[in-house]
Amino acid sequence: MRMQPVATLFSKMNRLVRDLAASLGKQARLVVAGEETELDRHLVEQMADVLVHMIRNALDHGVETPQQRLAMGKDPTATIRLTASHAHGGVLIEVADDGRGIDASIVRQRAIERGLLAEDAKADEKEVLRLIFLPGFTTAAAVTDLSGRGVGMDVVKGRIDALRGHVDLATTVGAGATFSIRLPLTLSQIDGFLVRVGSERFILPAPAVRECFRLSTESLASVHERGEMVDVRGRQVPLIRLASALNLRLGGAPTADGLVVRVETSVGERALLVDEVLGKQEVIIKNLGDTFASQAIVTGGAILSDGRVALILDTEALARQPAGPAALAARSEVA
Amino acid sequence: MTTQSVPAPGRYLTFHLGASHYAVPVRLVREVVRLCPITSVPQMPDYVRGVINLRGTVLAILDLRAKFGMASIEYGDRSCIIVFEHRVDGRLTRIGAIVDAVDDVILLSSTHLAPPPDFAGAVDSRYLAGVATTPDQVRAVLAMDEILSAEASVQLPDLLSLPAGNGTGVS
Repeated sequence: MRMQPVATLFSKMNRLVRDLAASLGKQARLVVAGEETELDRHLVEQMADVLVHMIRNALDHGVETPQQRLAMGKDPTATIRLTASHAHGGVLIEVADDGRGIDASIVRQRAIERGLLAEDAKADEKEVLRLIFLPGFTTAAAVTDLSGRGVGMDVVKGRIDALRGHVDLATTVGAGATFSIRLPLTLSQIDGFLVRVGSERFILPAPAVRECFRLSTESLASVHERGEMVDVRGRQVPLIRLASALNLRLGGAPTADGLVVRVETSVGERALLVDEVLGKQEVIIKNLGDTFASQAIVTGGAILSDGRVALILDTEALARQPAGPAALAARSEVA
Repeated sequence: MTTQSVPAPGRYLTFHLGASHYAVPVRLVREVVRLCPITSVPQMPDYVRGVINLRGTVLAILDLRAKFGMASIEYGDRSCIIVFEHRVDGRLTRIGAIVDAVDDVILLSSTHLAPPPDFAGAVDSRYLAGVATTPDQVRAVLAMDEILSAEASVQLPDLLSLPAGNGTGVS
């Protein structure tokens, strides 16, 4: 793994801010910090496009004209802050501007119009703001009305997801917006929860995991006696029994009561049923090889302390596959 | 398919599965390792047993009995994994195969080697390169290149292209 400071990446943005501000008739300065922070070289390269996109967005849509800024009692020259730091075993990159910010109520209204949000949905401000990362949000209509902050944010998020990172948004109307990008130090390691299902152990990527709790039978409900749901504080979350979803040949009797690991995916939350959560650990991702190229629900393998290989599960793919052993049985017949 | 061609003479590693004896070109064999715990990988055909940790790298493991449609047995003391190394389109592929026991490395000359017999469909001869007849034994020469190329990219129906059962989107 070759590490590289983000300084080279950050220095490219100076010129971008200068040129772009000039062409937009705005005034802006770039303030960078933490440029000595090191990151996997591959990640540094991948992040270049993302930062360009975000800074362009900030300048184009976030930052007001000097006249508007003066009228609001702000410094006519806007400040864009680009900061890198180590946090939670990874790297945090923040892109902050002191522009007009993003109004959650407008985002909400827009999302309802576009059918992305139910009219009576009880989404808090943070949840509403996350909607700008949805593909459906990036339409021309939304752009003009929303100070354009939707532009290509789904692309940005997609890229960051692919790097196993996370992006968050904090904003204050009138005072600016801060995008926080959390990246793993390297593409070859992952923070995960080691879980046991039958005699097999799997790694669930920690960033996707929200909580773990013991399954009680009272909290279970089913549709057509197949689609099972777990009640999580009043919300019905689809249950995926990992043992059957993975078609495991289990040794011993199936555990009646297990632990539920609630994960968040782009298609909604899922409750994964496991037998035991063995702990949280950082593992090095090993490629399984071309033999498993068609295999969608396994990201890779990790070698555990006892020398055995545990599979790293792709929670996104798990959430998207039709649940239940029936679909899988059909699949193994073909094979 | 190498139906009419005769396997090239050279050094062959021999092994057996039950009463059937086999030979594979030594140049494709990287090493033979003892059987170790295998982590099974879901959604793969039965003969793909899973993966092992081979000194820090993850290696795919096939069961040759299952691959050839033979009855599976309890793995015994002599069961082992032959690690094959093969270049597919310039990419190095390593795959392990479980066999009942490895026997020997022998030198096969062209007088020992013949094209595969015509089983008229009774035996799937896709992966058969020929037969080797030596005074002590008749062995099937495996078209190991072909097996490895095929296993380097096991194709399965794409389950994910089916409509998602309960995609909820944002609500």
